[in-house]
Amino acid sequence: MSALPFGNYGFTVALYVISIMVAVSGISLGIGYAFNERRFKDFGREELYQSIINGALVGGLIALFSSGGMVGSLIGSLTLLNGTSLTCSAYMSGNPALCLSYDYLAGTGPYTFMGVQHQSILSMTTLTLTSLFGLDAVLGVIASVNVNLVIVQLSFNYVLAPILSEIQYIIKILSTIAISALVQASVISFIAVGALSLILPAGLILRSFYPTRKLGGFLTALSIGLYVVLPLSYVFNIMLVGSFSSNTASPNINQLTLTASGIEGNIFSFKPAVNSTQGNSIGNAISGALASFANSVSDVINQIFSMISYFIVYTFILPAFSLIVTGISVKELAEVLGSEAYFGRFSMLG
Amino acid sequence: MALRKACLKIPIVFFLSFAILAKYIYAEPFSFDVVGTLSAVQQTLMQVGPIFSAVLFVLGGIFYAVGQLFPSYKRANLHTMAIDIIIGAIVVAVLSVASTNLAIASTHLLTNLTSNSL
Repeated sequence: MSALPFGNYGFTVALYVISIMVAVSGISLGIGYAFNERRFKDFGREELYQSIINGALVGGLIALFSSGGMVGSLIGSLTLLNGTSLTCSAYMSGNPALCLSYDYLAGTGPYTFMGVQHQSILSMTTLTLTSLFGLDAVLGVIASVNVNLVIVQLSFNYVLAPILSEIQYIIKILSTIAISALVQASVISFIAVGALSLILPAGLILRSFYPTRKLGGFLTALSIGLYVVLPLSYVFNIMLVGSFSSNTASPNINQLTLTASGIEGNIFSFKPAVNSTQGNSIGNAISGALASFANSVSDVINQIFSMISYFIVYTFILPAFSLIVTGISVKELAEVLGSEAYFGRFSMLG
Repeated sequence: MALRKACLKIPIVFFLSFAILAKYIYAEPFSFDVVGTLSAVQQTLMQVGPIFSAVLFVLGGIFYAVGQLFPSYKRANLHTMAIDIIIGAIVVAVLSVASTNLAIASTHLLTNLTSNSL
């Protein structure tokens, strides 16, 4: 028997539960026939049908989800297209869609999808954050400087305050994006560990008992939806991202930081002005440096805004569509698995 | 009449079920091992089923015999009850003894990948 998705232990437990319910249904059906009790007959007949259906479900799901099964082959064919290479942890290696989703969201190294190398969303976000921290630090130092120009005193705090507050706002947004990517990656990890080994066997066993049938059907549908539909929807998102976006390259923040560091060095090299002429020349030099810095900042800010807008789509809007699709699939599967089986006119026999 | 039948059937069923289950369940210590516990319950049901079926057969026979002592209209009722009880006994015996094989066979309905024994 090929490797079971929930191990021999889960299969054995499910089989014992099904045989117990067949025996219970038989006793109930026999009592119903013996004493002409319709409720016992109906209960026994229904439990017998459901037990056979549960057995078929167990056998069918093992065939679908075992290593080398139909679902694994389908997911592999959709995910591992030409030019795709991934680095997977051991617990994700059974489902390449889960592995690709994790690498896309929070992988530590680059992954290659359809021949194009990509960095994970988390890597790109943290790189940009690190650069922004450096720029914020340099600009913060410049903002704390007051220059005495004899006639006036120039405070850089007022000049740089809008830029600094914008940078801090961007840092907050990027932090939120990074946390969102990490949360989604954690969900993917949980699915890889628990969907087939915990949720699916629990669902099959609970489905065998009359009071917990609906809950069991829901858990079974949930495990299938989380293991198959959600990762494939992320693969679809990755295909969309690869097809339509190229503006996710890191903005050139480091160059801007170097420019700001140069201005900082120049400011600290000025000797204190002793007359208005010196004050004027220092003021003009500072104005010129700040004007060219402001132009560079506007270019970088545009690049950052463009990057953030794409990341918001990647980490909030596209995953929302994925969750909606997964929810609808789980609902439809749950109706099939948790509802009472309908056998048409055969239900009226006896 | 229906109330008298109910008053007769329900206590008999529950008393027999409880007596048979109590003898087997309380005689053996419960295990915290899930597979062990389920196996014990399954074995108990596979033993209870045939015993219950035998009781029903005897009951059916008693009803049939008692029916011979009554006039024809009451005899017919008692004979019908006896036949129903015997049919119920057969159903109980077959399904409780064959429960394991039925469970394994149901896993083979769609595929043949699972084992052939418990």
